[in-house]
Amino acid sequence: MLRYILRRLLAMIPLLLVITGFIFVIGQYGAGDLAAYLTAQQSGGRIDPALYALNRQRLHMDQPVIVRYGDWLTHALHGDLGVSYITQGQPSVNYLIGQALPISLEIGLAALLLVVLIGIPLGIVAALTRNSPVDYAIVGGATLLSSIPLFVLAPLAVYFLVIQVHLVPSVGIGWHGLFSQQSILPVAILAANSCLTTVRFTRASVLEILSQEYIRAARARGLARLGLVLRHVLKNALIPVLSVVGLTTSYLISGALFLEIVFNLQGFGLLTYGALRSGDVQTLTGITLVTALLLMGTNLLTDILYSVVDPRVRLAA
Amino acid sequence: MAVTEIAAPVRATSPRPRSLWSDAARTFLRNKAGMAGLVVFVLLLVVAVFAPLLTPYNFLTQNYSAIMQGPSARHLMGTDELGRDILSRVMMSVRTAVLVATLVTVISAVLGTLVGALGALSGGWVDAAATWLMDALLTVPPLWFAAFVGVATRPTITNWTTNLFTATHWDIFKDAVVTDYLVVVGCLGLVSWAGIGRIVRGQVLALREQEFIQAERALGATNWWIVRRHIIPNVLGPVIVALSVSFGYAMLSEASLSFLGIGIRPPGASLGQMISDGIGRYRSAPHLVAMPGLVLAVVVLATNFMGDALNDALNPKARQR
Repeated sequence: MLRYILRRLLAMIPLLLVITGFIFVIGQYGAGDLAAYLTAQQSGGRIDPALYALNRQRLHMDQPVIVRYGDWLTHALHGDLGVSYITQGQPSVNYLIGQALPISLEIGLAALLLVVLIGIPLGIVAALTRNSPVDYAIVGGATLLSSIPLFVLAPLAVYFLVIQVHLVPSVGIGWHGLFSQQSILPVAILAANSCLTTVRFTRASVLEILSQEYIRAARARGLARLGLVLRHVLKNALIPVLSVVGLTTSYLISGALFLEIVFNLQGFGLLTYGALRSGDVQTLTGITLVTALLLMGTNLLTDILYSVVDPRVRLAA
Repeated sequence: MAVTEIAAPVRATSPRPRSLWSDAARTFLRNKAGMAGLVVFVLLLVVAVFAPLLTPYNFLTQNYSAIMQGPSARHLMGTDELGRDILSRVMMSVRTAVLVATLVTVISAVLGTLVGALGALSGGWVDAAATWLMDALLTVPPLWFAAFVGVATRPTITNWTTNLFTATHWDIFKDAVVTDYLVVVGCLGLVSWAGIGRIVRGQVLALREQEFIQAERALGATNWWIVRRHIIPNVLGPVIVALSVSFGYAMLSEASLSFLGIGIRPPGASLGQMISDGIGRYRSAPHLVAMPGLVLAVVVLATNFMGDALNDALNPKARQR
């Protein structure tokens, strides 16, 4: 097991290098001349050649891009992701991400919890009532909710649920911790938008188990339907569902971008949005690294959990 | 119960074997959701091609005496904050989205097939490199990757088009919207082929080991014969399914990038841009978000239904459910 984890961690390194290197390099070449931008800002719109040369030197822009990437990498390995030159006050990227990431992680985890707590039971019910109106309603509803893009679903949900029906208080919707009334709507919308994979996967998994021989044997022994489901089906059907968690995490990260724009939550998504709008390459490179780490970590974790829960799965060391 | 299971495969109704394609067509035609998806899709293409002829108003004409009106007989989807007709704008936006999605789908089909097949057929370090490249692309959510690449390359691409204009004096290179198209198609094409590539590689690898391929080899068939006669028809099914879903996803991605303000920008028309413009006003005029949003949702739903139906039709093994 330890060897497996080590091997997986080692395999991540080249991937991370390529991804961050790619973003870094196209950022340096593509996103405009940062030194010129800074010079124009410092000297009120004019480009002073001496100041420009100084800025270029300060940003190490006189060195080849590979050297600069090496610099960035050494700093990143020491936990320093550089400075966001374009943001006002030139804060460090570490500070920006440190401020924003916890909010998004809380929202994401809450949404993930909701997806698991609602999506799995719905999937089981859909499988047990296969091809009935209940099944169609569950799968159809989940399909519909996930087909509406988040940046449409969120404003429409606010319009109908808050402004028309007053389901939740209309004051201060946003993120105030897990158990506040104002946080329900954003989390619920994010969960509703990403629950389809879980529902469909659970449904398919339960159906697969239901068609196995030992279920037929248990039924022949006269086991009642509920007992059958609880004792034999669930235990085995839920193992594959674990792998959906990794997929859903990817959705939730993409979703955070749009959710945080619509509700103006000061999280990771909004930070990304700002950096995208202003072409802030330093922040974007840091964000890429953190996102890739998050996703790779989740995938590794689900794979390990998978092998713990299902003894048939051997992790190839 | 056991009796019906044994009896089922022996169907007396088909006197001669049907080909994969005619069987697929029959299965697809019987699938209601798939047919509904197909109808929406065809409608979409018609609107996209003939949009300038079909729009009731010019999509850029502002009318200050009809600002933010709800749907009515004169403006079926209402008007926006500048008094522009939303239906006309939606139609032109569909044109934009279909154009982008078509180009992106073609790029990802070509790149994905080439890289996937090359990796699977040559093996060794080529395969390792191909797999690794696809893994790297799929590590970050595709839309984020596309957004980063788009932001980072936009100034360079703008420079290119400016230089091309000074060199050729063709009006097409002066158009800012053309630059937007190049950026969006480029960055979406760059990130979206990896999924197709994985499917092609997996299919080709699985096929290579099949007995009938080995039998063909033993009979002296050339590589080209095997590829044309067996590999292409067998890989085509899954690729078509993947492409139909990725077409919808490409439309959604274009809208998402435009919503973020880094895709198609004014004066170009885009669903994402319309939604982004309406998002500050949805409390008083929800139709600004709802109209383009629902069109987008219907499109995504239709391509998903179509993909599911195609999967049922082209993948007979998965049909027993």
